[in-house]
Amino acid sequence: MRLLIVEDEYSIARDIEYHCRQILGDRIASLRNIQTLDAARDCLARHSIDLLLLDLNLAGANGFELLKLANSGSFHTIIISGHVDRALEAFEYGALDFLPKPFEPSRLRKAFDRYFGLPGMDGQAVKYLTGRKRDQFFVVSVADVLYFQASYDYTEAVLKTGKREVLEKSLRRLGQILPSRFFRIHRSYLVDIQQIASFTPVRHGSSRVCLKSGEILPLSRGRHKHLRRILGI
Amino acid sequence: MLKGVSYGKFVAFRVFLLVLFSLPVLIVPASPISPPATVTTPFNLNAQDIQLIQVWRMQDGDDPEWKQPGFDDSRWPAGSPNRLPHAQAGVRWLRAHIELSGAPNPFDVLVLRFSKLPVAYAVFWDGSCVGENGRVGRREEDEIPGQVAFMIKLPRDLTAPGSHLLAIRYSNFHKSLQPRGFWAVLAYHADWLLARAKDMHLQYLWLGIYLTSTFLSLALFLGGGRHRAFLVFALYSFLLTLYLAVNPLIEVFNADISFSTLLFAFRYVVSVGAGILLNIFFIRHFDIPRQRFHIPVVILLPLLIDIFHIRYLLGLEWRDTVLTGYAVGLLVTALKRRKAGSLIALIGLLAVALPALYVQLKVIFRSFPEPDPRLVLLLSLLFIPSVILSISRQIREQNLFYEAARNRSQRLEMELLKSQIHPHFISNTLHSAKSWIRDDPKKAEKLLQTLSDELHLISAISSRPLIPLADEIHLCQYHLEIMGFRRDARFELRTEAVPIHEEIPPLVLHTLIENGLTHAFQPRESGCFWLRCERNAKETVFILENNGSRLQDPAPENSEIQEGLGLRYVKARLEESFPGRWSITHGIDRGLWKVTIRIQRTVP
Repeated sequence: MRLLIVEDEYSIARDIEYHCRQILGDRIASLRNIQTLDAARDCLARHSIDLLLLDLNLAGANGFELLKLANSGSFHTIIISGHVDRALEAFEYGALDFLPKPFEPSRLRKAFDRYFGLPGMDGQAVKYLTGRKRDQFFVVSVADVLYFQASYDYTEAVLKTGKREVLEKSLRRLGQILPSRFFRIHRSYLVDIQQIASFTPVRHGSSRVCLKSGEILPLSRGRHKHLRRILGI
Repeated sequence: MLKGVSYGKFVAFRVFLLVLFSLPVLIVPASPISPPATVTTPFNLNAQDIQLIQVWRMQDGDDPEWKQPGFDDSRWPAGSPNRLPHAQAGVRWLRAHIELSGAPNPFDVLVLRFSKLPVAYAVFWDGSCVGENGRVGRREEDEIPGQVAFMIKLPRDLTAPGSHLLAIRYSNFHKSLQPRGFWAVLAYHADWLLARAKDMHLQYLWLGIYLTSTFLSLALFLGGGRHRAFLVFALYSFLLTLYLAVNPLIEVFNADISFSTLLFAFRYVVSVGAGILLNIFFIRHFDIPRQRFHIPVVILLPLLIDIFHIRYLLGLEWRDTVLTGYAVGLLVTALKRRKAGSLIALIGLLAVALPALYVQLKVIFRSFPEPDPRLVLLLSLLFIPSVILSISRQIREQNLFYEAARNRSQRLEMELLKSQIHPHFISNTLHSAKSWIRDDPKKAEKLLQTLSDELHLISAISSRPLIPLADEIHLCQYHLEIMGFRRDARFELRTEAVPIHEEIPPLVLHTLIENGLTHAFQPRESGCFWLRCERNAKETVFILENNGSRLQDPAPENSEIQEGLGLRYVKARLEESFPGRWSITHGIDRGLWKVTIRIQRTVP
């Protein structure tokens, strides 16, 4: 697991690093501790990471932009901040978790659990997804998405308007932060179940999901039973 | 640019106003005193006129022949006695030809009423003496001064229709400064008394208005914040009250003509003073800019005009007209600057000024129709109420302003508390302390102690608008120490020639240091702040420098950083405590980031 800590105050950065090492131990493949946002940008351009622990002064004018930058990456972001009142916004813009300062080690452990796909915090889910086109950020509202489709290392969000937007996060990582109504019907598809009009029973090893918009998507055999249970059929 | 153009236009408008109101003064000397077309004053015995005898023939010297109707005075200069110098003592004669027409009223007699003719005189009607005011003398010892006002009843048998001659022999040995404003009227006795009574009623009405205004303004001055403008207006009203009280006093005490010289001086001072005070009141009340220019001008202007008057022997009213015109200009300025109540005051002033200007212009352009006196009166009654209304508008405006200032001050206090007792600051510091507990418990203890010291000091000073510099320096030092722990660096504040008792708004230097720490220093970079103070007679200058490495390169973002939240707080605080008297600049100087605050001293 490759970690990057961005925290401008060295004493606090050291504390975060200490606790990360305590909790994750051998699972850490690399851990970088960086003090400025400029250096963090450089580092992210050159190295790929799995988890960013970001101290964000959300009260500043550009705090919001930094939040978008962090959340447009393929990695997950945990925000660590003294601005507790801005936590909801952090979640809405796609943070995996939000830790108020000073945090308890057990709270950090919970955040890591969430990262590994274990049940963590409930109730908070991303409302907006951020992507990047030629260094320009764009924001996709989760409410506008019909389904997500895996495309190589990236994910395409297919919107109700028919438009497709490319996001850097993998389908698996999106699944961790999206609201629970998004259901994995297939290795490559994550669908908003409220948009499902009907689905066909399994025949010759394959099945189809028909969306309200008229689109037809594949439904894998393993997910069929699951979907029936969720929809209560 | 646009602003410049409109300002230019505005100045042009002001010049126009001044010229308009000075027009009478500028025109009259240019035209020589022309002899009137007729030297005979007509009087209709059937009408109820109060006839002013304006045209007189005048001659220095003394000759008993001059009282005779048959004497040919056609070579004597003609005009109003007011236009001739009285300074030289001597005996003189005045002659007026009067043409009575119509049928005499059998129930009333004609009266001649004189006022302010120096110093003693004898009046002859068709060659016979009809009255003497004082005693005319050829030397000062022989002369006995008469009364200011003098009335003669003409026996009915002397006032048959036809041509008559009014001759006055007078001497003025007693006083070098003579009363000005001589007038003489011819009227039926009853008509004269009625007109007199109307005039008196009006004067008492004015007297009441000005007296009320005096006490009201005085009460406003004493009761409401002691604004000097109110005192000035009280004085203005009081002077006018005195001015109006003089006439009744003359009547009551039958004032001697020698007393009239004193009276003349008094009325002169009062009327000039009132005009000046009214202008000063407007200047101060509406806070007109460039007061150092306007106040001397309104004081000098009437005096200059009077020197002009003495040269050209004009009526005194011109001076008042020019002063009123100046006041109109001041009110237009106030209106332009959107001062509360300026429009009401301007309307009130114009209601008085325009009829007065019209009357003055009518003297030059005789063809102007006679204004309706009732309209003029009603208009002029508007003035004092409009000024009082204007004052109340200003008081309301000031109350709103004070309220806003108080709110602003409370908001600043809140901001101060938030910036330091903000959860963000506290939680970061506590997080840092937590880290130090593990790595170096001694440091953690020191950090927590410093934090609590800072919080104590902040709660002690937060509600005060100004605190001693010593406290502010302590706060800065605490903050630097805390930030040193948090960043694992060392910061210092060095002071040089700092007047520790000088008072400054709280957290101003502190905020600048906080900005410096955030923007000038790399993480883990140690550094130093220097505070210097330069004082001279005009201002106190605080210079705060730091040697942080990040602001050394003038990257474009740096300028924007400095206009952040912190600087807004600093500016608001400085404006609150030193309104309009401060400036703040920042930049790189000899490799150091430097912020300079200049605070001008108040004029003691």
